[in-house]
Order: sequence, then structure tokens, then C-alpha cells
Amino acid sequence: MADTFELGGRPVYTGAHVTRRQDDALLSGQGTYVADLRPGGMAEMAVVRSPIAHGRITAIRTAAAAAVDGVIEVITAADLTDVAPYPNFAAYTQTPGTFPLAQDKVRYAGSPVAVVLAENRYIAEDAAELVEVDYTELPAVTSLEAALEPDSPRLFEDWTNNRLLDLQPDDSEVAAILAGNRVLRRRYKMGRHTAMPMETRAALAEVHNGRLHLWCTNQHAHIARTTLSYVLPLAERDIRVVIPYVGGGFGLKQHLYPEDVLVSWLALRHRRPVRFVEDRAEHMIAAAHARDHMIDIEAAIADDGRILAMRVQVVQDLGSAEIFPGAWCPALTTAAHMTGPYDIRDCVVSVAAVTTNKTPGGSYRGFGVPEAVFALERFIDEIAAEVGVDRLDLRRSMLLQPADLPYTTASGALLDSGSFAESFERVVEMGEDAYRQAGAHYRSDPDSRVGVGYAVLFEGVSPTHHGASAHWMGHESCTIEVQPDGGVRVASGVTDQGQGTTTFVATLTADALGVPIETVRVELADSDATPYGLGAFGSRQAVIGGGAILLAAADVRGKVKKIAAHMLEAPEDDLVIEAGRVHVAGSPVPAVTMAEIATTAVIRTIDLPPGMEPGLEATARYEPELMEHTPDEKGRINANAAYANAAHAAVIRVDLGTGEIEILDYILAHDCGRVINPPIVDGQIWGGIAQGLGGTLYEDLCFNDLGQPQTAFMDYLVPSAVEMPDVVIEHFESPSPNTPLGMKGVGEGGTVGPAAAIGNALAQALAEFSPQIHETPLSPAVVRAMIPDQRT
Amino acid sequence: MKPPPFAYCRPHSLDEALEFLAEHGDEARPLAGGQSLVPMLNHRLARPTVLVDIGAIGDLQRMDRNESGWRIGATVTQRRVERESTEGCDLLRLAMPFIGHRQIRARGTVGGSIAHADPAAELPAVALTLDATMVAAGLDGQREIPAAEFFAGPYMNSLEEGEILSHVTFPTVPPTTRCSFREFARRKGDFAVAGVAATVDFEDGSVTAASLTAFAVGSNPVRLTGAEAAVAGRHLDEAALIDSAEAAAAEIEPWDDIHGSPQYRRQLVAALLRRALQEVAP
Ligand SMILES: Cc1cc2nc3c(=O)[nH]c(=O)nc-3n(C[C@H](O)[C@H](O)[C@H](O)COP(=O)(O)OP(=O)(O)OC[C@H]3O[C@@H](n4cnc5c(N)ncnc54)[C@H](O)[C@@H]3O)c2cc1C
Repeated sequence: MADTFELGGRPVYTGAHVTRRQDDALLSGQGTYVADLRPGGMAEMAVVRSPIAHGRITAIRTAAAAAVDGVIEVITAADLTDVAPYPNFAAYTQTPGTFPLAQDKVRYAGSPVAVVLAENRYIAEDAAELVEVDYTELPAVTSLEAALEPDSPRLFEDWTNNRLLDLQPDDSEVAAILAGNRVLRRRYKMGRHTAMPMETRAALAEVHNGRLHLWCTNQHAHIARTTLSYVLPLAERDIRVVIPYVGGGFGLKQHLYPEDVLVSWLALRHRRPVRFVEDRAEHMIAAAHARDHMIDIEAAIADDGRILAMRVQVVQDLGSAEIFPGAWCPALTTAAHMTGPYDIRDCVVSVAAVTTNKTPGGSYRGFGVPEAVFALERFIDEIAAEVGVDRLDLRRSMLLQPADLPYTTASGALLDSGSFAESFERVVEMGEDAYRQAGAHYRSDPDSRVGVGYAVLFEGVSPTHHGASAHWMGHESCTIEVQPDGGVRVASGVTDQGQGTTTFVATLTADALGVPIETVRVELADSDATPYGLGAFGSRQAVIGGGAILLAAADVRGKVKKIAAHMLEAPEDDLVIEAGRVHVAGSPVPAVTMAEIATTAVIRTIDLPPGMEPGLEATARYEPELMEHTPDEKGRINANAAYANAAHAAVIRVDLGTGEIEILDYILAHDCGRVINPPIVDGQIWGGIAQGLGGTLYEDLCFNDLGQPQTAFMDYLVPSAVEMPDVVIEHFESPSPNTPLGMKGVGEGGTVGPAAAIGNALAQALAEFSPQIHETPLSPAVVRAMIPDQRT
Repeated sequence: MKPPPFAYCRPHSLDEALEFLAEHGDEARPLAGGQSLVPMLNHRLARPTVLVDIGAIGDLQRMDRNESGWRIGATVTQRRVERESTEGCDLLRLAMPFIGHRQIRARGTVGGSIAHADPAAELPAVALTLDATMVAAGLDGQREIPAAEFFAGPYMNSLEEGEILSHVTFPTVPPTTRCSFREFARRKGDFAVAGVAATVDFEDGSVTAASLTAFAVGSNPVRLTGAEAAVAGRHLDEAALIDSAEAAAAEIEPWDDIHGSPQYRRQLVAALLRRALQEVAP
């Protein structure tokens, strides 16, 4: 099937170091973000947010705020009479009935309660302080353990408990294996993180000729448009969503937030542009949080430590769950990754996603996989220690070998290719070497201990959207038009948050058409200008967007050759397209140029082959055939188009006095199949590792017992350049037989491994103290508590 | 994160500034480098209605050495102290790079940091360790406040309403005095989770005088008098290091926050002090 997707000729740009299209604009400060847009007459919005975590709203008084000079209007949920709650399409979950402004109840500190629209943000904030809201406080549920308690206060009174999602599959087969074998149990937890893009959320709504134009930071122009049409009293044809430059999405901008709806509603009502630019303090409490998982593993183990069967319980803390699309899907993704790239045939996972009085959880790079990898890879090291076998040999005895592929995991994932064992061995070789050197260097330092830890993993990429929305599936789209001068316009449903999407679209289009890349203009992220696509999530865009490009290009290329054959009076099959010229293979002259062909196709149609339709344009849609959207009766699902893999090694030094972990070496071998742009792939890995390290060592969103957020921006410690270690990246390329060009996604692999690798390194470094390493973050205070106090 | 409305003035003399402050009472605040005050305004944690920018007052920008030490004007930037020589005041030079990032030090001032009295700030700890003298200017003239009396709790100082900190005198020490400045922060440039400053004099290998301070562990920097006593007259051998570290851990009353429990901060101070003393030991 992969041969349907061809580049058409010898690739010039694919696999080469093509510089990113936006670099010039970004490096010279010319990128235009939503916050740079200031249409005349623009008003700005400030949101009044709940200061308490859980309570009933008994009164809202807005008169004083409305009277402030420069205030246009103050609105509450009661004013939004023509707005519908966000839909929930998932029949297997309970429904939070999310509304853009709190109705009756607030469920997290930060819930939007009222909006002040004013001439500018200064006035809006001054007036927002004058909105008085009376609450009857209710007891807050602030941890997933508390949410699971049967008598826990409920966030949604019409639910029977706090479990938005509760899947308890039949575990009798695994239970039987557990009953007859040695069983080991561990509980692992990963803390609460957020993506923290450089650019916060922003939205600007305008009304043009009766249509709503929304400029926003959302990762999907079309899903945003459709969702707005569900919530607002507007036809989809009357909505245009445009996404200008975006300063990082990372999943956080996958959600269509209340503010996106509110600016739209206010712009329609007041017929003037309305903008919301989130400030960083709001971002900490009102933009999606992520992770916050607890994983219980019970495993039957053989005498040599091999895992014979696993029973796993995954619980995800959703916060208030008032977010669209819903955020339970990371827990399902965790479940799908619990066996790692190992031959563990019997594994049953139950999944619960619970509501608490905290900021709604949402998507974030890694999306449930870091949690699974941390738990499983720590668990394997713990088994090795418990049974007394070498942790590397234990992995070797279970790792999938080339001969095992294709392999379907217990959860139904089809691992069609990969370099699991090879990448692991390479990283071990380099990791052990680095560890020996570190050991020698710090041997005489009584305050230091060194350790090396490994993580080996696979990661589903290019997933169905259905797990998150129960509505959209997995296709992507592309239109390619060759214009009369031979220049190319390519429009696709994929979007660019700064990761280089625009560049790969140009790259594949240029190679697939055989034209110079400079002649390709890329149009993305404008719902009026591009065919319906699903945009950015799950490392999908190169694989699925790439497939759509190749299909559209193949159509155009076929027609180009037909026209050229006619013009050159040569057999079509003998022709090649190179650098925008078509000629017989091996003899560059005579040739016809793309401009001549397109002029014939579009203008001088009189010269077309008899009967040929005018125009040189094609639109294609691609949905990977093997991607499944709903599970089978046993809960198994191949939810992704492809599976990337990686092996991580971290060599660390622990300061026994302060508990600080210093990363001496970080080594990663990754495999994302066919590489389109090596520097972009490396950049994705670097960025992914930074976010993975952040969550492992630094970042932690804390709440107190009242549900009050304790982590301000100055305490949310995103690693900076100083904290980033040097990273050695090794490349493996195992093309998938089932994806266009054998591509697999690369956006998340770096994020997925650090917690496990560092946790395992720490266990080795502090082995003499038998530390319990079951949770992240591994902050210095946490690490120091593992070290007895005899030395000061 | 927009400030509430305020009026702004930028006087060119200290007297003029003091008059503005007197006129507006507790509604007015001096604005120095703005690296603490402006974030507080944006978060609406401080709401002065008048800002008196003291950045154009020449008198406050002087930095010179006299017989008692380095006299540093309140609006001398932290970066300038870092770059220029403060001979005889090594502790000051050692501490400067720990204050935020270079961009912040380029605007943040010595007087602003000391007046702001952040419990985790470096400059108050240096002032306390060196027994610096703060000079407060008011409409009635100047008064001197020793460092030990200047800090009055977290983010509180003992300036009277309407007074401006005009300069700080950091005493110089003889070249034989050894000093060390150590802090533990989560990331480069973050406020300290705990820190220690030390100046120690030795004679024949024994400690003749020690000034030891811990910061970021309580409302204000504290002199570690117990640890000072533990090293007095002793060689800094293993036993002395352990005694002083244990004394320090016992005598502080650290706070709790998401970066560390009181227990952890005691451990940090013990570890940092031990390392500081190892560093200065002859
Ligand atoms: C990201 C970041 C990181 C930082 N990290 C650190 C750090 O690690 N360590 C650290 O110590 N600091 C840190 N700071 C704070 C910085 O050092 C500030 O410069 C300092 O705290 C205040 O100095 P300022 O000149 O900016 O004063 P301002 O912010 O202008 O004023 C601070 C307060 O002092 C008052 N004030 C200022 N000058 C006088 C005066 N002469 N007389 C009377 N009152 C006065 C003001 O009214 C105000 O209340 C950081 C700041 C930022 C933004």
C-alpha cells in the first residue's frame, strides 16, 4: 500500500536540511501573532474568575463595573441565552455540560464567571475588580484519591460519583495467571504539569460582511469552526477561523476554550472587534493542565523476572473536566502503552478518569505515554532488583526483536516496524561508557553519587481523534493548484505552531511535483482557504498530512505528464519531471516547463489533449486504513497510524547535601521511520526532552487542601537553556510499511522517556539507601528525603 | 496583569523626591529599578497611586570608597556593583551573580533590593553579614540604621513613611579575611531556596572571628550565632564543621513552601554552611 505514496522522482528536498520557512520572520521579530493584531475599534476583554475551588454562585453584581468609564458591557452566563453548552459525543462518559461561563456553580479556582468588555485591557481589569460575586463554598475535592472515595463530594450533582470515565474490563484471564505465580505490586504517580507555551492563548473576533472571523491560537481551524457552530447560533458557513503565527501549542491549544467563544459572542453582539490575550497569571489556572496520573501495576513474574501477565489500574485526575474536547483520552493512551515494546501478551488495564476541583486537565505533548513509560520502566528496574537479575538482561529477555514484527500488543497496537532492541543496545553501549567515565570522575567526591538509567519505549503516533472527541476521526486533506505561471499553491488542513509544519508541506509538495521549493506557496490554518482537515495533534501532521499531499500531488503529476506528453509528442511513461521541467528521461532537451504546461491547462486550453478537462489542480484526503476508531469487544484498538520508538539513557550525579540531580549525559536513540527534515526532527527531540526533564525534575502544579493553586509562574520551573544538558541523538530509520513514505511522527518521543530514565538512574545512584522512587517530580527536596542525615 | 491607574513623577533631587513622598503619604512609593515593584503593580499586590521614580537623582547613583567602606548609592544597579571593583568587599562581588539574571541586575538596584527586604534576597544577607549601615534620608535629615535593625520581617524594613534609603555603607574587610557565598536555587537565577554567607578571620589556623548568615529560611536573613560560637577559636576540622552545621540547622526557623519543607531547608543550610566553611578554611 505504501507504493501509492510516491514522491514521483528523485527527492531533492526530502531528507535534506531545508531551512524552516518562518525562520527569517521569527528571527527578525516579524511573526504576526494574535496579540499583534489591532484592528480599528477593537475592544478588549477581561475575565472575572472564581477565587474559590468549589462553590455555588448565589449572586453576581455587575453594576459598579458596568458604570466604569470605558466599559462597554459586563456579561454573565445568564446573558448567553443563545449559547449552547459544549457537546459531548462520548456515550461511555458522564457529561460535564461545559458552558463558557459558570452557571450556578464554580468547580475550580479560575473558573470564568463574568466578562468585562472595555475599550482596553487596563480598563477591563480595573472594572473586573468591581464585579462582586457571592459564593456558598462547598468542600473541595483536591486529589484523585479523594475523588475515588465513595462519599467524596461530587462536582456534578447529577452524576453518581466523580468518575467521568470508568472502564473495568474483564480481568479473569489475567487474574488466573496472577493466582498461580509470584506477584509484584507497585503504585506510580506522575505530577501535574502544563505545556507553558511562550505565547499564551489569544483570540480576536471580528464581523466581516455578516460573517464571524476568529483569529485564534487553536491547533485546528476546522474543528474550531465546527465547534463554534455547535455552541453559537451561527451556521458553519458564516464562520471563518484563521490561525496566524503561534508561539507553541503542545496540545494545550487543542481545546476550544471559553474565551474563544466569548470573544466571538461579544463581537457579534457589539459589531466591533473583540480581543482576548491571556496573561501569564491566568494561563497558570485557566489553560489546560496535564498528566496527574496514578498507575497501579500487579504483575505475575517468572523466576528470571520476566513479566508473565499484568493487571493495571490507571487513574487520571481531570480537574473539573470543563474543557472541550474532553481530556480523558490520555488515560486511555496510558492504558494502550502499558506493555511497552515488550512481549507481554497478557495485560488488562482498567481506566478511571475522575473530576476534582482543579483546573481542567487537557492535552499535552506525550499525552499519557510518559506516565505509562515511567511506571513500566521503573517497574522493570524494581523487578530486577527484587529478583536479583540484571535490569538490562531482563529487558533483553522481553524486548521485541526484529523477527517478532509485525507484533500486535495486548492493547491492540500494531507495531509494524521498529528498532526496539537495536536502539536499546546502542543506548546501553553509550550509556555504560558515559557512566564509567562519570564514576571515575566523581569517585573521590564524598558528596556525589552517580547513576545511569534507561528507558525503552514505543509511542503511538498519528492517532484517531475519536478517543478524545468521540466525533472526529483521523483524516487530513490537501489541495494542490499549479497556477498559469507554473507556481504552486498548496493548501492543507494541517497547522503550524512553530514546529515547522509549513516547511514539510513545501518539501513534500516540491518533491512530489518535481518543482523548485521556492515556487511553492503554502496556505494553512485558514478555514476559508483550506480543505477540511484536523490540524495538529498526536504527531500526525507529517504522516497523515503528508499522505494527503502525496495523493493530491500524484493526481496533479499525472495530468502534468499527460499534457507534457501531448506537447512533446513523447510517450507519457518515458517522461520525468525535474526542477519544474518535463522531458524524456535521460535527454533534458526538448523540455516543457511547468509554466508552459499550466498555461496550457488553465489559459490556452485549446492546446490541451482532446477531451481533457481544463485546470491543473487536485484535492485529496487521506485517512490511514489500519487506524481504528473504536475498540473491539475485548477493548483492543489500533488507535494510531504508526508507532515510533526510542531508547533513552540518563547519566546523573546526585548531590547528597542538596538532593539536586545534575544530568551529566543524556543519550537518546530514536526511530521515526523516514526522516523528512533532519534539523526539524532533532529540534523536536530537543524540545521534547526539555519538556520531559521539566516534568521530571522541576515542574509541579500544586494545590492546597482548599483547592487553591500554589504554583505561580515564578514557581513553575520550566527548564531554561542553563538547565538543559547536552543531548546525544542517535538516529534509526525503520520505515513503516503502512504509512506514506514510511514516516512516523516525531513530536513527542523526547518527552516520553526522561522521567523513567532519570528515575532509574536515581535508583542506581542512591542504591545504598534503598530509595523509594515511585513519583515525579524528583525535586531536590524529594531526593534529599531519600538520603539519611548522618552526613551534613 | 495590568496595574491599576497611578501617577508618575521623576524628580531630579532627593529633596524634591522627599517632598513628593511627604505630600502623598502612604499613597506614594519610591520606584527604583522596578524589578520587584512593577510585577507587584501588575499583580495588583501593591497599589500606590503615585510613583516617585528616584532613578534621575544623581546623589543616589554614586559609588565610592571612604575610610569606613564602600558607600553605595541606593540606585546603583546590581550589575554595576558586579562589574566594578569593590575591593575589600569580596562578599558583595561574590553574591551579585546570584541575583536573578543579568537583565534584571542591569535594572535592579542595591537600595531597591535592600528596601524591598525579600527574605530570599542576596543583598540583605550580605548587608547583615558585613554589618552594613543603611542611611535613610527624610525631610528632617539623615539617620543611620545598622543592618541588624533594618529588616523588619518579610518585605518590611524600618524606614519611616516618607523616608528614602539614600545609600548603604558596606564595611571593607582586611585582605586576610576569607569569605564565601553559597546558595541553592532550583534553576539558575531563581530566588534561593536557602543560602549562606560567611566571612571568617583566622589566626594560626584558628577562627578568630566569624560572621555567618543564612537567608531564604525565615522572615529575614539571620545571623547564625550558634554556628559562629561553634567555630570560635577552633580549627575548621571535621568536628568543627559538623558542630557548626548542626548548630545552624538547629537555630533557624525555616518556612515551608512548595520548594522545601522546614526540615529540607535545615538540611540545605547545614550542607551549604559546611561547604562555605570548607571553602574558607586555610
Ligand atoms: C525574574 C526576576 C528574578 C529575580 N531574582 C532575584 C534574586 O534571585 N535575588 C534577588 O535578591 N532579587 C531578585 N529579583 C529582584 C531584583 O533584585 C530587584 O531588583 C530588587 O528586589 C528590587 O530592586 P529594584 O531596584 O528593582 O526596586 P523596585 O522594584 O523599584 O522597588 C522595590 C521596593 O523597594 C522600594 N524602594 C526602592 N528603592 C527604595 C529606596 N531607595 N528607598 C526606599 N524604598 C525603596 C520600592 O518602593 C518598592 O517597594 C528578581 C527579579 C525578577 C524580575
